[in-house]
Amino acid sequence: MLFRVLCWAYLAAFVLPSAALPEKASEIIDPSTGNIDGKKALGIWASGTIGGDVELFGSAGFSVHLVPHDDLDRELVFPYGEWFSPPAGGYQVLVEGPNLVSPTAMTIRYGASPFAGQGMAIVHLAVPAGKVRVRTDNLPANTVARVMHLESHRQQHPEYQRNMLVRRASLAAIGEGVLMPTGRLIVVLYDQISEEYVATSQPVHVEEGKTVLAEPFSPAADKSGLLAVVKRPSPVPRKQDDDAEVRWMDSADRSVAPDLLIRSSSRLVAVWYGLSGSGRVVADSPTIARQEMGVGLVPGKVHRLDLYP
Amino acid sequence: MKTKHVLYVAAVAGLLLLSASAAYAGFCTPTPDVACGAYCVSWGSGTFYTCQYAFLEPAFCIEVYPGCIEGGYHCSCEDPFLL
Repeated sequence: MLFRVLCWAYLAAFVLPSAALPEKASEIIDPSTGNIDGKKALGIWASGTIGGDVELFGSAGFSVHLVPHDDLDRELVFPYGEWFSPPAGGYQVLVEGPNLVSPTAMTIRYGASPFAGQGMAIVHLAVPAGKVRVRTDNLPANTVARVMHLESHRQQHPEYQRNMLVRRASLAAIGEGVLMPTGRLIVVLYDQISEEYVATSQPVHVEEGKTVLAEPFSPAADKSGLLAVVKRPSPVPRKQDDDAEVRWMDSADRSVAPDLLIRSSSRLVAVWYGLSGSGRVVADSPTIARQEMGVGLVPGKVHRLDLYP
Repeated sequence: MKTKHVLYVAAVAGLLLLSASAAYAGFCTPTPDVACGAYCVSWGSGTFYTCQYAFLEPAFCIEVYPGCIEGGYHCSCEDPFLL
């Protein structure tokens, strides 16, 4: 009798709930319905928990944002939790919800291929978010913003990091406010006509459900800003393995540490707000090959250097 | 006796299922690694496409990185940079 009771208790407590877990997802979407005009459709959902129980968000207040790889300035918006069929191609995927947004962009390749039994169903993440805005009254109409989070890609797991989240925004959009994960970020302004960066903000802290003002500034007349983007030879997803350093070496071979160094799995971004003269950016570590690139800085400008292995 | 036997088998099967679900958080079925160290996992009834690094705990199977290529359960490290 006792054995029977224990068996039932065990079944009720563990077996039935764990067996039910896989069905929970299929209740939300039936992939066999992902057929639009004979093509495999795309459907994107988001989960709100990290490392614990899986919980998919419902669709209220959510939307899916796709940045086409062939036009990184565009952000196409599609319904959340429904099948749709964008043009075939590569996309960076974000999910937005009420005070929620994905902490990193997810890369997908969508083929719009003939339907073969199921749609392309994807589960992304969404974390607490707020907005960042910039005063746009005195900015030229050809200015756009690049909003770069400094830490959301490193906060989802104690040991691992992904790639940093960068969102592009029109002047109107950054004036209204761009949804970003809570935490620190910077806003960089870019001139689409001259194809140059013109101003960089100090880090600001986004709080959940609130809007923070960032104030990008151009370098002083005798100084230069510098954004150095270092592509890693191979991804470094484990934080403890990330021993790379980036520094500016001036013409007298003096080393200047960056004002900001953002580490991510595939890249390092170093930011200096006020350098002068000529010199070179050096990136190295005990585990990667040294990379360096020289530049003569122009006073008053914000330069960008890309270092590749 | 027969009932007891059925319950016993069910309990053992449940224990195995529980162990499996603990290992894969009840959802993930890993597919082969690719060069960048990421791989695609299926989720739910085996029809969701998500990516994760091979060495992340399976419990993090919904942590999507760096991306999936449709149809092939294949992950890509390609990552356009928007700065």
